[in-house]
Amino acid sequence: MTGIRRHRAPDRPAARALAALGSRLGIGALLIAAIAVGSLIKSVTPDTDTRERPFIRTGAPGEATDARTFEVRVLEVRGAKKIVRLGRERETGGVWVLVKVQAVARHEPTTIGYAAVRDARGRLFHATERIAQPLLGGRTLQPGVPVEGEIVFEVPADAAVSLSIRLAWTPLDQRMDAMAEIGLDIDAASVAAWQAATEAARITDAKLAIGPDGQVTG
Amino acid sequence: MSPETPGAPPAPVVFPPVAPPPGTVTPPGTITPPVAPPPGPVVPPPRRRRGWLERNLLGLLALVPLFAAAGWIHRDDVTERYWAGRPREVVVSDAAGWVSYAGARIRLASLEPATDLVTFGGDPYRVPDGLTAWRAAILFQAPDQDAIASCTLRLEDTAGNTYGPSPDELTGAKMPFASCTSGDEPAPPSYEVVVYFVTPASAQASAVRVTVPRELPRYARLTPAP
Repeated sequence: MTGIRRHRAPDRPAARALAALGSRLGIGALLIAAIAVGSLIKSVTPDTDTRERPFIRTGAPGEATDARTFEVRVLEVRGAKKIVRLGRERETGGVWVLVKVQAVARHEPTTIGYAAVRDARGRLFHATERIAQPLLGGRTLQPGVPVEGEIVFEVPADAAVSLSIRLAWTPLDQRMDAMAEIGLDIDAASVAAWQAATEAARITDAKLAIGPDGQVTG
Repeated sequence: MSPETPGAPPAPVVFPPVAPPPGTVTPPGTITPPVAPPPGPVVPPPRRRRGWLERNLLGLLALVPLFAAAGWIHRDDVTERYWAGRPREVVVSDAAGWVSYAGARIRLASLEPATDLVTFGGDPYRVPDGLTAWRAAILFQAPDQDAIASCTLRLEDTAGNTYGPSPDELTGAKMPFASCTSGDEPAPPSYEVVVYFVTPASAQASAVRVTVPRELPRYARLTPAP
């Protein structure tokens, strides 16, 4: 009598090898597809800097613009080749841009901790640290008490045209917080005149912008 | 096929005797010995192929605590931390005007427009037009001065706006440093601090807030003593 040696179909080495190869190819294809989908998602979704960018609130000169903890208005823009602050004169190879603003805290004490100008190419220039700024940093704004003063920037002459000013309360981290942006409407003729000026622009301290009747001045 | 006699009934099919299963008891009581296995190599029974789910069951189960852990890590988001660092839970005064906060007892003795401000030269100080200066006198009973040393003082008006102490608007006026501590060593059991604020002339002061960072989001709200 012939015994039953095994209950399985005889080995088919070629078929098994093909099946194993197909399985590996399938796994590889799935991995590539997963990476491709991941890359696609990454390419169409914003990166961290974009996702956590400040909330820009745009305004026009003379118009009150809300920066969440304070409101700000641009009153005037002037420029010069030289400035004087606290009796000391400073010259620049570019141009000084002096932006006079009026700011008032909304509901609690705050400061203007961040100030920068942005040119048409998207370059940012922070307020100069060559002088003690009258309004930035140390000056605390109280609710309902408007204060006006100049913020001073030192920029290349080619950047001075079409600047806009950006203001926020915190100097360190502007992510996902409100930021006021106001166009300054500077033209090339003004910049040329500022560069040609021989007289230094005098920068005064910030002052209250409230009248005896409690009305806002400026 | 065997030859058959015509007309005779078909021969019965005879089955060979089949051995009973091993261990079967046959009447009247005899035990049949086990049947020897057929000759030849022993082939193990075919193994059952496990399905995908069965093969990956442990990994799938491990995902459950993993997802839970991921959720736990992200529970503490930025918004929660921001709100936890804001003064949102008010601690109010008792009937006598005292508030127990940060290990101290605090009471607002008075809150009124300031009329006693002087310059550093001793001359009467004139408050800028359109503003009102406020004088707050606060009583403290604080056995542990360190516990309240980092306090922040704010004036609150009837509209809910808050104002900081010793403001820039009163530059030129002689004002004490705004603090919750006595400045004396050792601190007396009870002492008073005086703080000045400024508001628009149209605002009406209503309370003083005391905030200690360690106590956030709790803050003390002091209203004028009855």
